[in-house]
Amino acid sequence: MSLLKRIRGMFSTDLSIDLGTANTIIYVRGRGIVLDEPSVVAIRNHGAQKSVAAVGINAKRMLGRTPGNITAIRPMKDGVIADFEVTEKMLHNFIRRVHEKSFFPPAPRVLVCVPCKSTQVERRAIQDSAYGAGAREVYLIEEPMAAAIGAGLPVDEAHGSMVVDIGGGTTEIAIISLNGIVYAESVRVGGDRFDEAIVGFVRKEYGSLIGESTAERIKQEIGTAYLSDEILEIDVRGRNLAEGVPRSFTLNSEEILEALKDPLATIVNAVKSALEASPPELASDIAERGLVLTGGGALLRDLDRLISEETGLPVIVADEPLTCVARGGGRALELIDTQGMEGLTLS
Amino acid sequence: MTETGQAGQLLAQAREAQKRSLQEVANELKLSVSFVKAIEAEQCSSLPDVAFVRGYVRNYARLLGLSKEETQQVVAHFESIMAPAKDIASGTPVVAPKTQGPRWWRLLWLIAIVAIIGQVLYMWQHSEAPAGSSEAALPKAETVPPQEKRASATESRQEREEDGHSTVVDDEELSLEISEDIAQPDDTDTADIAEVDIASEEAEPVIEETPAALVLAFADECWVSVTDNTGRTLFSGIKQGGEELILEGEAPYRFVFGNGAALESMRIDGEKVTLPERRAGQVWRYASR
Repeated sequence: MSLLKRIRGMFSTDLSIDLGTANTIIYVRGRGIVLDEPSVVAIRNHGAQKSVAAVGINAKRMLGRTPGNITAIRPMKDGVIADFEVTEKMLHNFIRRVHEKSFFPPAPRVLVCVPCKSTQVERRAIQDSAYGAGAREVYLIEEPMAAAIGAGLPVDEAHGSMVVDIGGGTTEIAIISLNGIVYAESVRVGGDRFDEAIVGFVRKEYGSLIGESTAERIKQEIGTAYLSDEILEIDVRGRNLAEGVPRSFTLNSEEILEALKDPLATIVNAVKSALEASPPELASDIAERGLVLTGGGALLRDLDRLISEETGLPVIVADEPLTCVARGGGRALELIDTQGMEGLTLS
Repeated sequence: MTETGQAGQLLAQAREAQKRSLQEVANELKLSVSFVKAIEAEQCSSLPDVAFVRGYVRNYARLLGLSKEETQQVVAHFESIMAPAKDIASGTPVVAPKTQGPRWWRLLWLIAIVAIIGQVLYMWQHSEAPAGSSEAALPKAETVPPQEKRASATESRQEREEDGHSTVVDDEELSLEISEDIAQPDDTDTADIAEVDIASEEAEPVIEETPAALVLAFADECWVSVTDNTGRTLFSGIKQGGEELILEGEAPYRFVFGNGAALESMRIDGEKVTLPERRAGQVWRYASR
């Protein structure tokens, strides 16, 4: 490590980054969550040259609304890097934003969360892109481990804790005991797949085309995972495929439940197979205490009830599920410093 | 809701109002009856970690149809009785009190770095001009007491008066002469001015007309000290590149050059002295015959 980076490191703070498919969340030690922005970058093309036009929320507003010379890109797909250079640029921008007040260019210690079933190549890409963004040291941690720590589960005890982290691109399921992952499963179904399912449903049932942003809004406002007495409605405008003109129509929560049936079934099946694969002692712990939902997907209405009914186990939603992973990563950094728990991270 | 037992009571009352048994509620929540009992009795010891209890209570409140505010109050109560200090899960900064320490350390580091950079710059600047280092090595030659200088100035003046022609030795001496002349109360103003004029005119033409005893030409900046046979210091100071030093004294002379290579040529009584090989940046001592 160069001396200059060490000196710059003295003026930088330790960061825990949840580099998600949908959102990037940064937790700073001692300051809490300081950045929560969509993982979107808008690139402007000047002939052969490219430059970053916007990053984060500003870039997300451009998604699907860009002129010819600007492309809004989501550089992460299914929890891993799809576009290396753009990810690096995005991370660089976010790290710089967190250190806005510092005089020197920041060189922080960074802990990044990776999907537990990501390949060595994918992990290496995330590590390299964090180094490229100016990090002094990069640690990697498996997402469900960070999520469990962030949710306040007793990961260091000889008790099985089960965590289901439903992110934008992937759903991570893990059974954790004694600071280690006993069983982990990752399915490439998450919030994005819910949005796609809604887009597909509207096209099929209403013959209209809606964008991803609209689908996400529908999911957040009336999306539900379990049939309840309360039925919600939303007015949506989309382009009618037959007539070619925008049309307005009303969707209700029952329809959305129907649309989300398939991706939800995938998640439930993955949870069931995790329970099947868990050792009997840990399974009894989980049966007694239940499993914990984290990630943005846990905010889908009544998802805990669905999983609870399907598995017959108590299911609880963690506090602030969206930021669990980033906070857990921050806590892991502390544990590494104070208790030398290097084992929490991946080598 | 700070009193112990109140939150549990609220849940129990709401359950009884809906005529649900503990067993029914436990089945709905997929919890054991003992956990539901413990929640209603607020027996923290028989419940798992706060992260779980928070979820159980929230689910229980939702099942009973409690309002959002009531749910929040009940959850907050259980949090307060189970974990007085908020943990990481509640999103509060974990190491907030520690922040003062590192900031002080950072300030100290910054000061140390600035001091080191300053030191390095200082040393670097002085390493470029080795004359400075020779100054340190030769403190005696450098410091000439002012009285001695004054004496030497008057001596040379007397000599010049005796010889009938004068040679300007140094700017310092010249100014000394002028100031002394001005200070004489007996002389008239015109005489003063005349004398000053002469003195200032003497400075240049005289040098060219009469061959000086000692002429040193410099190619580069150099600290130099010259003493003559009588032990008198003729000059001690720095000369820039391209300058000439013209001195009057009694041969043989002794020279010390801070940067030996900076000396371009040396003439003693009009004769050019062949100079030996000198190294740049090194002190060179020389004695004429």
